[in-house]
Amino acid sequence: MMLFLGVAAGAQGPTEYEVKGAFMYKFGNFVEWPPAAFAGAGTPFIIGILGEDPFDGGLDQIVQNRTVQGRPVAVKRFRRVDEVQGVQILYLSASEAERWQKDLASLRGMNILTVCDQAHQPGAVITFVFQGNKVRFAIDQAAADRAGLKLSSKLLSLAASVKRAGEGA
Amino acid sequence: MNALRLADLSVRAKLLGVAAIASVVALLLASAAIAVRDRVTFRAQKLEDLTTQAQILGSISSAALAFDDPKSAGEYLATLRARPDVKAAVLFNASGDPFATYRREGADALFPPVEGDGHRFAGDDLLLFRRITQGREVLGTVYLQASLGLRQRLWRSLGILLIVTVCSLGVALLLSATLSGRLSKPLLEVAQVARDVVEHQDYSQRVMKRGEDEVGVLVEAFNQMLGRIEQREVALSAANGALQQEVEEHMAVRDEVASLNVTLERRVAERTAELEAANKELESFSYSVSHDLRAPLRAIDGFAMLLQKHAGASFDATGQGHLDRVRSATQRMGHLIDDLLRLSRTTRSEMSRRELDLSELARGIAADLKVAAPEHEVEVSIAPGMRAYADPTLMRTVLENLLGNAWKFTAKQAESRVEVSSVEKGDETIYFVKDNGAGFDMRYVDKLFGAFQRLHAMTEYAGTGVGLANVQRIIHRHGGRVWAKGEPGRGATFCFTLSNPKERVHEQSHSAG
Repeated sequence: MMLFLGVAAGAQGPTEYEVKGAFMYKFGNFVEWPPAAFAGAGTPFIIGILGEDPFDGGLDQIVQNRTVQGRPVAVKRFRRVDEVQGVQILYLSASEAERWQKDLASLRGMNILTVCDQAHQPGAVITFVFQGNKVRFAIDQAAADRAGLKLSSKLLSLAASVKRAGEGA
Repeated sequence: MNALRLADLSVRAKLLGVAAIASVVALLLASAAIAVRDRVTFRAQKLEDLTTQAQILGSISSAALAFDDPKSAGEYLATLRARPDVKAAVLFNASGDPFATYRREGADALFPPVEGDGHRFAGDDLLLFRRITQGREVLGTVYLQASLGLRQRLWRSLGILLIVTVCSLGVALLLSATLSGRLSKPLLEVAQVARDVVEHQDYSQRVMKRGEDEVGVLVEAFNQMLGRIEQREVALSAANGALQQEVEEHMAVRDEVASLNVTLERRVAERTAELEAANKELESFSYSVSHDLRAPLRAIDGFAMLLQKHAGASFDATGQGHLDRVRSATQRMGHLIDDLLRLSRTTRSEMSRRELDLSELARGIAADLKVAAPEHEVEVSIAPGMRAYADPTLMRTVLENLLGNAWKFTAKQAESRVEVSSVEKGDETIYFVKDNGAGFDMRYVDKLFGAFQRLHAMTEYAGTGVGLANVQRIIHRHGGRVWAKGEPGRGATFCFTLSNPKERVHEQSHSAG
């Protein structure tokens, strides 16, 4: 992982987490949430971070003055999974790796697009992967179905891999 | 040259030409209009089409742009292979750098830097830029370069036009060939009949009228013209016949007149010959009578003279007187006989005309008369230079008679005047002898020139009454006229003409014959 980071940094382009942060925000435009996911018409679109923030506050800069699905975007940080509430996208930080299965189980039934890094256990809807030195992502369609989310075909077509429903957990 | 050839073409060919030209022109005009409209609408369609394509591309590429996946974007652009008209395509990212490109193989692709929404035409190509947005966010830009294919389209249209033109020309020619046959057929009929009429002079022919159009009017007019000509022909031949008949009648009349003339001339010749014979007979009779009478008359005179000489003494005064009377009567009879013989000679003698000086002739006669009667003083004036073409002997007789008469009838005048002169009147010369003597009554002018006719008593003026008759004969023999004017006591004028000098040759030939 440090190797990849190094490569990314050495390219003098955006860092790995700058790219991932931008992806986090952009996922919102290619996923459809059920209306119940939002508290109200005017409520902002919330991107949550559970655990330590690997973006180092960069995500807040990215989403500044941006909208997703016509809503202003806000970033919320959570230390514990039971604090998570009213979130549309949730990043499961590496610091949560020990509680991974427990976290996902407690989030079950909520309309949340869960995102994590490749190093974690499978179970999140979107998992960041590397192809060559480029950040890509894998999709777990079954997880998305369970969360009641509809993923855009465009997003699916860009996925490095898609785990279809019924392919086994 | 062209105009001449056009005029020489048949009506049928002209109609065909008109049909062909009209259909070609109509086709060309319609094609041009369609081409212009096609170009405009085709461009608009193409623009719309390409815009849609760009939007689709932008839409499907939005995620690729969002998640920085140029490989996928390249694959999306590669789907444009299905569209042969698209020559090139570029996806620019949000910062305006080329993200993915597509280039059709072998196409003259253009890769301009990024632009805002818009399009332009470059030659046969349409260049189009479309921004890809998500909400308010610009994800990137799609660029498409597509061939309009206007040239191909033009060639294809021209091909279609050519086929349609050939087909419609064929149809038009076919149609007008059948229709123009109907048009030109009656015209050809008119021409045929006209030729027949000219060749055979048969004006009874008529052209069949087929309709009420212009050709029908022409046929009717032509037929009317033929009718008129036919009528004229009939009238003309009738007039010709009448004229012919007239001419024949005229000829017959002329022949008749000619034959009558011949008959008449023959009769005249016969009568003339008869008359001439009678005249000759009469003249020879009178000559011989006069001649034969002279011998016994001489005997009477001679024996009367002898009787006077020998037995004159034995007669008394009465007897002497009777004897004198016998002698004077016989002498007078002798004169009469002489005159008759002279008159006869005048008629019978040969005539030879030549140029004469009448003035000189008159002067000589006047001188003789003066010598013969010196006691009678006469003032004679004779115009000089009077010329005549006549027989000298006969003219002397004429002047002797006329001057003698003048002398005789002025004898009792106190102052006697005799004038001989001439005047020109028209183309003839009138000679005249004028005196201031006894004159005569114009009532008896007809008797003046008769033989033995006298207007004066024997006792008053001596004379036999033969002189003027003789003058008239001579003048007539010269082809002239003689006439007199007078008044009792106021003198007389005797005028005569001779035949025109221009007719001398004619005269000569007559006199020679």
